[in-house]
Amino acid sequence: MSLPVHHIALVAIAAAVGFVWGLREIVDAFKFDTRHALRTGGAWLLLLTNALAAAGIYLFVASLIPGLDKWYAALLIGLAWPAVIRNANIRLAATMPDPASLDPADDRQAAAIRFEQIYANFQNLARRMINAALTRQRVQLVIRATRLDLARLETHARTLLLASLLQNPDMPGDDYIDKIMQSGKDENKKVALAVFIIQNFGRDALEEFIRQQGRRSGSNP
Amino acid sequence: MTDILQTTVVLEQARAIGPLERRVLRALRDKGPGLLLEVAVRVLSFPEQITPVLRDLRERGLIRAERFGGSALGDELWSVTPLGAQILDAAEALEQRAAGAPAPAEAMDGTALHQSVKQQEAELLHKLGDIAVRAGDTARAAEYYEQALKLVRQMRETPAS
Repeated sequence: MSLPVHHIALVAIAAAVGFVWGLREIVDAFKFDTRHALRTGGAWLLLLTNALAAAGIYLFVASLIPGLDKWYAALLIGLAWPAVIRNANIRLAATMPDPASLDPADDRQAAAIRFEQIYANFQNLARRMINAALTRQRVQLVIRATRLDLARLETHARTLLLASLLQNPDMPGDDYIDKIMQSGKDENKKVALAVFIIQNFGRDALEEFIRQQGRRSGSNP
Repeated sequence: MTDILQTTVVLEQARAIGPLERRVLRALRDKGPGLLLEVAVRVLSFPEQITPVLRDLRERGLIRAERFGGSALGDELWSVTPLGAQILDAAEALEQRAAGAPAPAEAMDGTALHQSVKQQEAELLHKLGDIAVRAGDTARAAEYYEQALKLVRQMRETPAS
């Protein structure tokens, strides 16, 4: 009874290390918005795939090499699996050779799949999914901000800018906000102000302000 | 040989990059992909001003655009390509080299203490401003921030005078 539990624990160790490895990749790629990035489907897809791949490779290697049922082996394989998978050419021999081909080696070559490329493509897909999700969230937030009063939104943007000028006096003055306020319709001004706040002070600065205004008016805008 | 050629091309492109192009590339690299209005705001510009810059950078393979539904912020999601990031790094390295080593800090002696007091005062006003923002009193926060900013600007001017 203790044997399967022991094995499950080792697989879990490898999976956990793979998960942390994936986490590091996301933190590295989305430094500017890690917290929100981690809440997207793309991030979980990447994390779970990393965990499953690490666990799968541990199981595979442990089934081939006896004596690997140790916690440090699981830890090492969990750590090393990206290197293994990225450097290994896994050749999938064609079970049905192409009759038009004269050289069977060419068939195998054609069927060879470089796992490094597959993993890079997968990472790219997850990254694009995360970026798309983050952008959709920002657009939604801007739409919510357009329901606010323009004067209040402007005051908030100017206040945040003043505060940031204290941290970094080299930042440009509030003439950019003046230009926004001179441009087009009120709706466009609100959109530009909301984007200005998000881009310079983060989503939280706008989300908190929207909440504050909602509390003040007694309803969520 | 190919590496040398590639490096030469990167350096040539890095030298040819204009200030607004550099700011656009930096904004995309540092803050990630963005829609047209977002990119414009990041570089404190407006969509009509940066649209030609974005098109030009895309033609040179330094940035790419992906379709992104219909949105008031733009319908393409712009991001920097690996080549764009490489050229930006090279441009920044060239810029740093051109700027040379930073000048040694001036000794301030007597003014140092005065500056330190002003610094503390500015920090205190900044904290008061933060408290006022949290309390929802943006008008008072703005007053505190303005006072603190005045002090910071005074501090910056003092060593030069």
